[in-house]
Amino acid sequence: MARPHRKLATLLLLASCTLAPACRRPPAPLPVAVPKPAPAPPANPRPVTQPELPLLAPRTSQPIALDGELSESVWRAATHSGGFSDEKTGLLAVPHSELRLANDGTRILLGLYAADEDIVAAAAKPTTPTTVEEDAFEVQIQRPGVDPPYQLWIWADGERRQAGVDAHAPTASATCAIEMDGTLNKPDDDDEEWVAECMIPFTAIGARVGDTLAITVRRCDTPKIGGKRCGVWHGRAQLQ
Amino acid sequence: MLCLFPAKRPGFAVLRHVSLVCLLLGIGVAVGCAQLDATGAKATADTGVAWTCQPCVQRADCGADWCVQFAADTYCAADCSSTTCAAGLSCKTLITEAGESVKACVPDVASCGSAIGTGDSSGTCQFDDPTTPSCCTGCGASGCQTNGCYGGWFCDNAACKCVASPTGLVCDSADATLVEDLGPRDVQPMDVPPGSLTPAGGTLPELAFAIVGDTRPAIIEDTAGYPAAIAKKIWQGVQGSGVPFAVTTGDYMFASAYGTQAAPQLDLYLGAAAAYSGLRLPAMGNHECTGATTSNCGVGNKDGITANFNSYLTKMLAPIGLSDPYYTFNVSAADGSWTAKFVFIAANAWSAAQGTWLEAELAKPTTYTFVVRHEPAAANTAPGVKPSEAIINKHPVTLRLVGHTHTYQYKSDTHEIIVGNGGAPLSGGVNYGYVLVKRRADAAIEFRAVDYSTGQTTSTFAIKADGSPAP
Repeated sequence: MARPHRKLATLLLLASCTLAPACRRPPAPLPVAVPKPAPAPPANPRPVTQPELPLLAPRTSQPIALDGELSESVWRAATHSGGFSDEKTGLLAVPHSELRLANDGTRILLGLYAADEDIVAAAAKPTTPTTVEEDAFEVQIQRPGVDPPYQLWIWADGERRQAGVDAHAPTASATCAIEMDGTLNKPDDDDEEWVAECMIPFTAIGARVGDTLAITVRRCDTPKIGGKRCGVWHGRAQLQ
Repeated sequence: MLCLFPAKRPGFAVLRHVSLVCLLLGIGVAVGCAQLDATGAKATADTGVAWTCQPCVQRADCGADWCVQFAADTYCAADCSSTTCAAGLSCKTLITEAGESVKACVPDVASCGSAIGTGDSSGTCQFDDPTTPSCCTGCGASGCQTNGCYGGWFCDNAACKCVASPTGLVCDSADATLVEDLGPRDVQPMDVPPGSLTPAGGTLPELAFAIVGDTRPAIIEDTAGYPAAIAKKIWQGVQGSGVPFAVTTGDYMFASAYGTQAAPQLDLYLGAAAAYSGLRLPAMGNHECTGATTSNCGVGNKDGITANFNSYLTKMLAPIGLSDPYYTFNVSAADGSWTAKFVFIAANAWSAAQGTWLEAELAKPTTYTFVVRHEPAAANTAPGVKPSEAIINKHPVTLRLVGHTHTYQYKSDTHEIIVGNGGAPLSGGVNYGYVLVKRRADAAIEFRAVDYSTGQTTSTFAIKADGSPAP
């Protein structure tokens, strides 16, 4: 049985670009936040305090095998996001998502973990992902004062889109690998998780070692018990 | 930094000091407010509203601005959903004091903060946890905690202001320090008299046990990120319940199959589980093979003897006298009124021999039959799930006790209880916890899911010996 059609909200990442080098449109206006009714009692009553002081994205010279495994030691030395916060409640988001961040001097290294009971990815991805089908991570990286931000969408099946690539390196592109423990688009079985291991060239963002980047990562999911939940992490990281 | 908080609320017996937590709390808020941009001038948003480090309790304190959670406190911040922020400020998605997600301008370089962490000297604790009546009024229209705050925040009763806090902090009545509450405060002991149990089985005056499952980090080889504190609190809760034995549903590590981290992670698990003095009976999970649900360990199987499998055998099974990852645990009533068997299947060490054994074990008549396996029936890519299901379905079974999915769920249609919320990254809508099981006077078996942080029951159901619902 097909899973209900679900689309991500667009509070954070409003992409209007594809991989096309000429695409330099500024982000679409953000929707005005409308006060919501009182949220339902949280299932996981733990407040999340997200760091506002810059994190350090440590530099590594260790080769990374891009296989989705996060098995290299750099991933344990990498900056940890901790759990994301639920967009509606501000509490720890469930299903669990997590970001790990490092760099190798020329590329940002992103490790993205997604606990997921039912891994799904639509066969056809939007060319202009103003909204995306789950399961996907939405990553936004911004150098202070530089617009538009760099944006990357990574789906559980390994497909990706990017936008806001720096004009000086229009062909620079992120590379990612996915490791999945479960089955894609098979809702009648139980999945465990999927992991994206990504490398984003500094040139795609126009970043250099020493820069402090504002980073937002967002992921939505609908557990089998129903109820779409979106978790977000935002913070700043300095490339060591 | 040592947090000194004179205590107001005595009564928590099991407390441990967490100076590190105090340190982090202090660091998180002890950032100066004045330096907001490179020039030292206060930044101003395009909306014309200056960032003034104005603290707030509720939105009414901020006029047209939001009252947002920022740098472990709440401050007034201008809306930037339709405008951009000035230099020195960034437009970020933040959570308001009432739990709304909004876009607001906040400083890039520094954050505001008052000097939380010194407490006072009046003999009272400065921070009231969510369940303690206090002077805060920050919950607005949202769910209001007893302390007047929202979303698990503590109330700083010196300023009548809601503040973020790490999980589980309470004031220690003994020496007035801010400490982590590690004790099971609300677990109701099941009052089960001790019986006579060994890993081979035994007799009990009453059938009662706990189920715990899936305790591992999110990232492979991340031993430093092992959820030992969560596991310890879970096992403390189980200990407080008084049950004589516990069943665990698998996945105690996330380690490379042939790496070095399986043993250290199991040591962390066992250290946490030592908080429980009863008998622990483990099932093997996929992470005790290679980590892949499709993996199959054991001599003659495709993945052979991995470091994970070997560590599991030596550290978890050998100490209770077991050498195979599949086994049966038989218990019976001291007065002979009931018998029960727990059949532990290793679906990631599946073999024809295990199939033959399973057929024979399930054919033995008992009042209650519990099949313990890591993967639910739906996780059928595990090598032993489909073949074991084919055998199980030929025999009477009370309930399957499984994990793998990192949540708690009772599935009456497949006669399964999923208990996989033992510290592994959560995938459902349920918090970490465990399940307590007890045979009732009417011979039905009652299952009670418990939240590890509160000790409160979150869900109950009961079934008869044949697995059908009981009132």
